[in-house]
Amino acid sequence: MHEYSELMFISGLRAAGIGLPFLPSRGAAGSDLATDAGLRTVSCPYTGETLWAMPALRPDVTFLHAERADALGNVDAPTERDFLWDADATLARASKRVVVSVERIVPTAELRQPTLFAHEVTHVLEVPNGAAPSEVPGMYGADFAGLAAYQRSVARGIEPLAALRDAFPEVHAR
Amino acid sequence: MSGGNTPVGDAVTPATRLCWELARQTRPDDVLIVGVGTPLAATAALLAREVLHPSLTVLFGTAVAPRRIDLAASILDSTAAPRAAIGNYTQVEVLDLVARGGVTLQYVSPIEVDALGNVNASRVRRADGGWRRFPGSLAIADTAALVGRLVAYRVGHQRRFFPERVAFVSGASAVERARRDATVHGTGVGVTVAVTESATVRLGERPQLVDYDGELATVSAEFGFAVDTTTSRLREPVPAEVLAAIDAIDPLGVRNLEDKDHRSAVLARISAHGNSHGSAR
Repeated sequence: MHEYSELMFISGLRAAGIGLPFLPSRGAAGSDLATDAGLRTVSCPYTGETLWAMPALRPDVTFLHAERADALGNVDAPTERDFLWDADATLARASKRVVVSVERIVPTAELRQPTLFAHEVTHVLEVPNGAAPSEVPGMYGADFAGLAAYQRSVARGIEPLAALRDAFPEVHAR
Repeated sequence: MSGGNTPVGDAVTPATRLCWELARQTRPDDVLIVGVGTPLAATAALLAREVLHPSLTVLFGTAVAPRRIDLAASILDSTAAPRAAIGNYTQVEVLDLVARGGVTLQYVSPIEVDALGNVNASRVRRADGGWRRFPGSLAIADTAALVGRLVAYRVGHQRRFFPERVAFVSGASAVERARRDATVHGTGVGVTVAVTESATVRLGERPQLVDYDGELATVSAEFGFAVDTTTSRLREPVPAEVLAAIDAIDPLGVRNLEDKDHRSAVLARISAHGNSHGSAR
């Protein structure tokens, strides 16, 4: 198991998303993360500068949850955008298959601003409250009390799936 | 050792002192980025803009130059800072900004920082020799190489924060980078300064204690490496107008969330604040 830096991770996804084997980068230089991941370097053919070659990351499948989509798999942008809202599309476009659950499947005419399109999505399914115990910004917040209880249980050595079931019985029941 | 703010009175918590010391690390033309979920760093950034450098550009994650925001709400609601911003980068865009050297300063709160300025936010050795892993170092490896300069901070002036050598290099100092990857050039110099409530230390091949609070010998004993104290000076009390500005920026004391001794009380206040507003939004 390797820990990736944010730039290693996103560069790898972007490389896959544009069909390239790597993206050059100066990130993570000198770190044990770069060493552990076995990053290799390339030389710029124009300037001779040495850069990291961040290898493409191509997941077999990505699972996403969104507010709304139509039955074809056109997925709306979130109504309220947090700091990672675009990461869904970055992940999806790097992946071989994309499964999107949504709070609500709506008619195509009701979509406001799709950011992921039917030809990029393998499956879409309606799962109300599907992000719980996490949040869908603008629709519902995270269950912080439940998440804290889950963390305490895991810290005490309780097996994670059991801790999850205890902390969020309604999620598990689904 | 913790606390150590007696010269400025009982009302000044370690986090409050740190906010002022971090704010003092800014320069007028800085583009300063603070991470999501780091209310102490967020308070320090807003304080620096308020009382020192109105021209400072502050990024909260991807949110550009947010107006004064409700820090308690921002803990519960990931869209609070984006809503208060002039505009928002996407995640990819803000990483591009970092990659082209467009960010000049970042506050980071690692597990360890060593004499050279290497930081560890990834894992530490357990007594049995295995690794205890932390949630992850996010972009520290990248920003250490690409952001102009980093300032490391932590509530709790303790030797375990200042080992002679970090157990794992999540983010490399300029010296470390030159030793390992001399051919890959970054645009930043890594962590050059570390700040606690008791001391500010300049890091590098000859670490220097810039200033301190309390007894010099006690403060120096908490470093796992030699520090030059020949030019060290006692810290001045936090000015009253600065304390007033901090209270106005963070009236609920959310900055104290980064102090384990205050965490439970702060979480209770945040929860009550969220309930009194019906929701975090």
